Amino acid sequence: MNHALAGRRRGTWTWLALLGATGFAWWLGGESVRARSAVPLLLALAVAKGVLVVREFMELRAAPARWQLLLVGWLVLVAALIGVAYYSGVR
Amino acid sequence: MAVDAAQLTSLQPVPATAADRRLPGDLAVWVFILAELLVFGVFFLSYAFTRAHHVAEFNSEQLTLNRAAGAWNTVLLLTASYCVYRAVAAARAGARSRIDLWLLAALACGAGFVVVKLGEYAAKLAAGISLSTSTFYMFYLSLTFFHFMHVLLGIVVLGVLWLRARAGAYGPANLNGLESGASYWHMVDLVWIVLFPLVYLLR
Amino acid sequence: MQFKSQAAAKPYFVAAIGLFVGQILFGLIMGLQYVVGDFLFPAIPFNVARMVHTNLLIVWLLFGFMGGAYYLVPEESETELYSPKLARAMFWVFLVAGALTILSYLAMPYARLAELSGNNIVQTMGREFLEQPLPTKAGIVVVALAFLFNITMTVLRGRKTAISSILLLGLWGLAIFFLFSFYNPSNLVLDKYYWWWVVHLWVEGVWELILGALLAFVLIKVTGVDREVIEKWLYVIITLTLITGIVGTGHHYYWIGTPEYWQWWGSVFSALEPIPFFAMTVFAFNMVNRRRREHPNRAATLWALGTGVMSFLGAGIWGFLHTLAPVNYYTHGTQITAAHGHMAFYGAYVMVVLTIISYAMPILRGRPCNSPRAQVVEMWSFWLMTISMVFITLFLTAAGILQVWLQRVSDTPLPFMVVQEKIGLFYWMREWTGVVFLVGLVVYVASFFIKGDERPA
Repeated sequence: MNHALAGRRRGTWTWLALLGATGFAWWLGGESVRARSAVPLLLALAVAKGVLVVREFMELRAAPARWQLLLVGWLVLVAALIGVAYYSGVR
Repeated sequence: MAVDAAQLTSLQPVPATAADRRLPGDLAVWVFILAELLVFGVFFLSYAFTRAHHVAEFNSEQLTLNRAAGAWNTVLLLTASYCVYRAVAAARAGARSRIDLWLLAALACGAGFVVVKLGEYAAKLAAGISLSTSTFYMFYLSLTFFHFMHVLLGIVVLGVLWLRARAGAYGPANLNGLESGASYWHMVDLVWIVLFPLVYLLR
Repeated sequence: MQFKSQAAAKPYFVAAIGLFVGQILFGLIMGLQYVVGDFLFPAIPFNVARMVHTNLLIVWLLFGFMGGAYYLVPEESETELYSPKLARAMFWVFLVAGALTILSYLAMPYARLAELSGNNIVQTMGREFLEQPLPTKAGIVVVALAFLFNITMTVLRGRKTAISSILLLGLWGLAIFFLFSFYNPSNLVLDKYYWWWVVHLWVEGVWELILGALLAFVLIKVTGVDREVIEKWLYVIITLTLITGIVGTGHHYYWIGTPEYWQWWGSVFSALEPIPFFAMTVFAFNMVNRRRREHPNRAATLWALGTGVMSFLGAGIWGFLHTLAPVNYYTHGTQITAAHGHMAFYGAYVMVVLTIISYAMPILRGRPCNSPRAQVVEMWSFWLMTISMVFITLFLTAAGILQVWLQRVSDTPLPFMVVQEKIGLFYWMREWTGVVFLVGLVVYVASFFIKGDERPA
């Protein structure tokens, strides 16, 4: 198996994983689920999906490490602060 | 550019040494991407912290949004990103004839996003909702519209890439333009991945 | 001088410095009128002094930009200027029109000037910074078009560089956005839109492109760093400027009768406006630290670094101070705005024009740089003007904070004029610091007349 084929497979699996995560998130966000308990899970899913896009589609896993750090750092920071905002809104 | 042929024809295996690591596309595009992420980040946090003061209003109005449309749009953007990824892979493998096909598929997905989004806007407009209706709708419209403008720009970028790919501009030795445009499109996708749960799902 | 036609810049620079002196004199007059209300009344009322102070600023900066462009473009394009004759002719047209305008401000009441100059045909007068009578506005357009024609033809004929393209983009934008000044709708909100589309899109949009291009040019010359590196920085700065600056216009829409969402759009985007200025600071220091030669013109390097720092402080930090809607709710139209205006205009635009003058003028006068003695004097003027501008800004900021407190935040708010009395001390301190600034300016002018051995010691 050559690199090109491995790369394509990897991309396809990434895509399928992203679609699965999206479906799960959509179900979690529905009215049947108790909303508050879904918050951390939805944020974690968003970060996980973002990391897949950054590493695989943007191909930053093959770029100088600081670029991956910057983009993943952005994701984690934004998600964490959103979590803080939601928590502070619960009270 | 100091990239050897073996690395170009393969699909960028993780490089053995730090020196082999390189950023796909032009540095300027990446700085642009960082600036965009910063703007979106500030917007997202403005939404989240404003919501903390109007929890009840945000929660009830959020339920009026079309979650299914949002989810389908996520699927379309992710699929477009995958197609763009495959287009770059095809260019890197020297399979010129497949580059423009993958780009065309990505364009179709992007167009699908636009159609779904316009349908959503039309429904909200018909319900008499505008930027001045409430804080939640102000954010919903501002955030999604700002992102929508990025999708439109992304489609223009993909269109240009498609035209140039048809003219045979991209191959293993000429990737810079294709990779730059691809990175921009992935950024549009990345931002939506946070925007969709934030505005449509989290409550 | 690499190209003979670069000499076209010289009269522009001389006029710029002359008008700069005038601007500062009128600044001192109106600064005194803040505390001695009837000073020079009725010969020069406050509103006239203010108009002359701001209009002279705009006019001399435009002279500086044009001079900078005439110097920079032939060298970047590696060809002679398309028409040095046109450049000379336009200099005189612009100078005479500018002088006549200022004299007419001083010679007659503003309403009379409006009547005489055809303001009842097309109403354009009476708006801050755009007070010019119709013939002057038309003249500005003619001069700008002739200038742009000249510059664009030169660029088209020669080498195209990132610096000259960005300069051209900035200058064309400057001319195009000025066209909004010809429309003055009677609806006050619409009027404000058109007004900001000139004023904001100038100073927080296209002027920044001109600033970036001039600074990048001088940095290439004095540091010897690769053009590629500098151009990459320039692209980044310009992109950031345009993203934050254009939507950032919203920070002027908060309280003028526009929908509430502008408070969000304006706050979010304008809060990011310091970033390009910060990038500019890092850019200037980074390039000077990586310099590959010791350019004998130390003064020009100092001005370039000063531009980086002061534009970030004045435009970036002092702008951010009052750009968020909840803060601006209390601060709009107070001395905080004046503080920001002073340091931003000085730090960004005055200093970049003085940078290009400092670099180009010795060459235009036939030597690579001024004598060490002249440079020392010039550097003294740099510190005198820059430090006094810092203090002017601090005093105005203090006056502004007090004003906001006494007049707007307090449980028992005081009337405007009572508050003005109470903050008089800060106005006095600002005025005396202004005198120091004038001394700095005199020292600056004097540095042009100091002879001495040209070789560095």
